[in-house]
Parts: sequence; C-alpha cells; structure tokens
Amino acid sequence: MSEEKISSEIEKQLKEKDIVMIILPKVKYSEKIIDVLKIVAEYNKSICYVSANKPEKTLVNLFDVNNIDLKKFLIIDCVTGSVAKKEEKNMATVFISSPRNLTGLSIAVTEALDLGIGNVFVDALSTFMVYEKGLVVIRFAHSLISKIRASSSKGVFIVLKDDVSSVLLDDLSMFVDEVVEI
Amino acid sequence: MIELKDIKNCESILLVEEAKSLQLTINNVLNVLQSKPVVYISLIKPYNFVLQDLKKNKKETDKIFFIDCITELAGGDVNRQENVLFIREPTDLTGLKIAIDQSSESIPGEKWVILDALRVLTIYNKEDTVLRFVQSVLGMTSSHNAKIVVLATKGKDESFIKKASQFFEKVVEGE
Repeated sequence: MSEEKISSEIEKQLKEKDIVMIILPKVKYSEKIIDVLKIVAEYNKSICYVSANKPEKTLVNLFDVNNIDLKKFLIIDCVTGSVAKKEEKNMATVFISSPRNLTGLSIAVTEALDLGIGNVFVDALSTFMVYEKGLVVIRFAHSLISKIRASSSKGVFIVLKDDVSSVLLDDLSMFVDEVVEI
Repeated sequence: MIELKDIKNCESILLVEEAKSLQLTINNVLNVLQSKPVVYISLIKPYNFVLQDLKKNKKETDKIFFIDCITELAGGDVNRQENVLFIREPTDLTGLKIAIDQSSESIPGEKWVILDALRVLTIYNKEDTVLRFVQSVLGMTSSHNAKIVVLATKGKDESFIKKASQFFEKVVEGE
C-alpha cells in the first residue's frame, strides 16, 4: 500500500469508527505517529493523549515542530512520573507515577472523559506490556475501551507490532471496532 | 466464515472464529435467530452498543434480553432498564449464572442463549473456573429448554477450547 493510501485508510477509519487500533512497525513509528496525530487533531475538538513512552516536554516540542495545536490536548504523562518538577507542570498535563500504575491511569482517563474529552489517544498500549503481564494490560485495555464507549467518546490505540505477541493482538482486536496495520 | 445452519437445531454449539471475524459471526448468528427469543450475554461491549449495531442494521430487537457484564465495570449507567440485567464484572460468574438462570426461566418456550465471547471469561478468570462455569451453564440451559450458542476465538485458548468442546453437542470452526 502506498504512503498516500495508508494515510487515507487511517483517516477513513478514524472518522467512521469509534475505537481504532493502529499497529505500527517500530521502524516507521516516529514518522507515522505524527501523521496519525495530525488526523486525530483535525477531527476532534479535545484529545486526551496518554503517553507511555515520551515525557510531556518531548511531546510539547514534537507538537510544536509539527504544527499540532497543543491547546486541544490534555496530556497524561506516564513517563516523567514523580521526578516532574513543579515548573514543568502546566494546566493540561496530568502526571502518573509510572506506567505500572494502571489504576491511577484509569482514574485520570475517567476524569478526562467526565470533562467531555472527545478522543482518548493511547501511545502506545504495547509499552505497558513492558511493565505488566499481557493479561493485565488486556484487562486494562478492555476496561478503558468500555469506559470510552460508555462516555460516547472515541479512542485510538497505538500498538508497536514487534512488542506484542500475536495472541495479545488477537485479544485486542476483539475489543476494538477496526484494526489498521501499517 | 462459519456455516451457521445448525444453530437452530443443536442444543449446544461452540463457534470458534478468528478474533477479527468474531463481530461478523455474532451478527450472522443474530440474523439466523432473527425474531426468536434470545438471551444475549454481552462480554465484549456494553449492551447498548450491541443494540445500537442491531438497530442500525434494521434488525428486530424486541425479543432479545441482554445480560451485560461490561457497563458497570466501565462506570456506565446501570439503572434498572427493561430487557437488561447488569452484572458487576466478568469475574462475577455466580452473578452471571443466576442471571442466565432467571432470564432463561422467565422466557416461555424455545429460546436461545448467546455468549460473546468465551475468551473474555478466560481473560478475567482462571481456565478451570470458566470450564466449571460452562459445564454448569450448559446443564442449566438444557433444563430450561434453552439452546446455547457460545462464541470463542482461535489462538491462545486452543487447549482450553479442546477441554470445553466435550460439553457441546457440536463444535464449528471458522476457516
């Protein structure tokens, strides 16, 4: 599939479906994640960005360089954790102590959904599998997807192909509306 | 794609499908049982999304009674509603068993129980516990003149599905 076709396929699925899982190969991750984010930012007024692999500071720079409107985003930063300095905190960021703290993350996402957030963007679900057992992450994903559905919001779940076994991908694909593999 | 012609005749049937094709198979099962009384155990999505999909596809939903194991877990609205019973979460197999018992007993005559999907139960519970649950539910539905269709996914649960297969009259695998 050409780059153009991939982008239009992602755009189509993100517009039509509520919960989409995007499987990215590690080699194309940095480039493709920006393409996906731009599409999500275009079609949603408010986005809760759950970052499991990049600290808030890096994300802010990344958004800036790529002209992505940061004002639309509430960032849940699972990376910076307890080392976050007060001056680094801004109004639109919530810090979670560690990617292992799935309960804290679930509470933070629930609060974001209660605020009326239109889209929950999880980057990347597979990163949580580095910290927790596969089944624990699957249960967390199922609960999160159900919360998003119950709030009539949308969700985008990024998964790095090389980080997840095919069995866990099968489990995740059962819970989402569409799987786009790049 | 699974051939579904036996659903109406079998007392109990286990449908084993690829995870990505599961939703399509569920829709096809509901198509085959269109206008029949159905108790639908919803483990993948909150029941209102299953209902919404059915209505979008202009399917009759009046005779479907839902047992929803997800909405409460997701913090959704679980106030008493017609045609649905809410179970706290997929680990509450006792609550689920009681709900299946009560709902299938309350529907007179021939009826079907559909469970989507067995894999969700093994994600939340130990395999042996789920096996005992399946055996017990099959006995219960049989005593209430209910036929049962259980959906399962290929892959991780292969050995579990082999163990569970013994309880069903028929096992059908998708290609």
